[in-house]
Amino acid sequence: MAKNMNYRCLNCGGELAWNPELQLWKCDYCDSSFTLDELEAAGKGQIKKDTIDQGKTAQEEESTTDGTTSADHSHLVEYSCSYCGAKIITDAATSATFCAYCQSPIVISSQLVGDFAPERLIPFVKTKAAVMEEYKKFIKKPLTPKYFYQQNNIEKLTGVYIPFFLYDSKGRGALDIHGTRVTVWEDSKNRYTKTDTYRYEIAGDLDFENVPVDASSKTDDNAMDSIEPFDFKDMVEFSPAYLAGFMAERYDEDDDATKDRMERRANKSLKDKLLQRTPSYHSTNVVREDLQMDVKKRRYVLLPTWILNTRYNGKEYLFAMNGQTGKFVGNLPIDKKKLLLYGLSTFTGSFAVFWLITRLVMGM
Amino acid sequence: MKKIITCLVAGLLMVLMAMPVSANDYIVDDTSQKVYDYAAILTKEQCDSLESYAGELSEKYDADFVIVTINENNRSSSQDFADRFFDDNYFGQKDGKKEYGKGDGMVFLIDMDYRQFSLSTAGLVHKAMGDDEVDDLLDHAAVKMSTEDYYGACMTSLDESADAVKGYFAVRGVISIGAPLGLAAVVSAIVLFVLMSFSKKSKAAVEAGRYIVPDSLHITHEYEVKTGSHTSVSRKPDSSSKGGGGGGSHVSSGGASHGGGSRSF
Repeated sequence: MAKNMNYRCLNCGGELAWNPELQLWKCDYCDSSFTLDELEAAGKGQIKKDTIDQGKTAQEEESTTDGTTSADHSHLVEYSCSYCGAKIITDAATSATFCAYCQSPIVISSQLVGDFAPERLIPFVKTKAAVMEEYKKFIKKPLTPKYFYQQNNIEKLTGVYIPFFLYDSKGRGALDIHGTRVTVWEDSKNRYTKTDTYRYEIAGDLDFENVPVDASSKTDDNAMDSIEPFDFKDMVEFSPAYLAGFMAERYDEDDDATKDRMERRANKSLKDKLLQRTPSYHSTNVVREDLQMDVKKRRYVLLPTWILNTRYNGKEYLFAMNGQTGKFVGNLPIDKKKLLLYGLSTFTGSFAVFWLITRLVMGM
Repeated sequence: MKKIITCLVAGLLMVLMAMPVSANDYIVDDTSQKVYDYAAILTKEQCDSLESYAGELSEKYDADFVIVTINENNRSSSQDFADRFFDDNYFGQKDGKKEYGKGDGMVFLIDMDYRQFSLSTAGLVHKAMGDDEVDDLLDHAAVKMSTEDYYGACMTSLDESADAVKGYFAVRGVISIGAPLGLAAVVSAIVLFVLMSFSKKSKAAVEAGRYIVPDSLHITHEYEVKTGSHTSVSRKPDSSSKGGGGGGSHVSSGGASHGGGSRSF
């Protein structure tokens, strides 16, 4: 069975969760708040660890837990909630979640060891209440279907720590460019156009720092790219305590895949920087480019995101908010009936106005 | 004695005929008549036919289509005579109004004095007939005039000015519906596009410009060489314009705005 940790109030023993507003751990029962140092100093007496069945590995227990012999169970883990004792099965990549029975925040510490131990994270700054208000403002659009306004849908907004890789790299690039310069002059009868052609070569290198790439296969890469930037100055040393009260995933993307995505973005910026040095031409054409990215360092971090997945008319609509800066991204579906209504009413009203104006102008 | 009396009478008649015709001679009492053959170059049947046709057109288009022939012109030109004949007699006015220079219609004048024929347009007919339409009418009338087919020239003037007015109304009808439809469609499309754009708030980052380490760009090689040069020559367009035909707007000696033109015959 997987190890998990529940963080308890040092005063009353109630559940502790990270409070983005206070930037401390807060007890919802007695309103006490604690710093990380206080929690860590309290030590084993305050952190209750789930007992592990001695002699059994997590792998053996997964295969016997539900009684089936499906070869697919390697992506599942089982844990026991230390509040209510319920046995919960979850995805192998999940490192923080809530007990499905008593809703207590659970941190599955065994998912955060070895290669899967994040180096740093940015704690949540935006509260759920703030996010819900922001979401309600966002969906308040003329063509938004009614379903998105339902409160039980909005309540599903979830704070999730998304695993990211931050890459430091050195880019080396070389471009060959053909350019033209045009001069035009005239006399009384003719126009003369002189076109000079040039070959321009440039090569250079450029350093990148902290290029973020979403390392979870479960999240939409475009959405995670869209909620940038994060302010990495606020990153802190990782402690499982920060995950209390939120969901969290560990990385499960292939290293080559994340590196490719980083290279694509960084190479584009490298090329743009080199092109900025190009002399002034009337037209330019890059005839050869050679762009390479050497990774110097890769850090595994967790970044805060508020996420809401809504299913509407058979399609998934993802809304994501940067849990640090509040930047909101998402695409809303369009209610076709509302679209038709707006279209018809605008057309009718405009036609009436323009018809009257036309008659006045033409003196009819 | 008889001979002396005959010579005296002839002389008196010649003197009388030489007296200039005053402008008042061309003031009409009833503008329901459309054909004025002062020069007596049309037969009665031709006058009746033109009167019937001109009356029909005037009724149909709510504008006066007038034919005038004269032997004596005391105006400065045939064009001015045609303009003044229309305005001074308040042709083309509706509902009993008499506002100088505000009528709708046309006058086709055959001036046997100056040996010119003129077209004068006003109001609606002026709007309907541009320079090209006026030139075409005068050119077609000139063909008739060259063979002294005065009736044919008058009919041509009535036909072509009526066609111009008909076409003008047709275009106005299309514009009065087509323009609002087109504009309403454009406005609706813009409004819907804006409304739909509110529903989109996602733009994935495709570059990493904000993660560039400041001042870390290091250029290792930079080289530029001119590889060729080519000069092309083109002739400048000729900016002189063709000589224009007749037509265009002008102001009569009475101060009203007219269209039209003249030709000699």
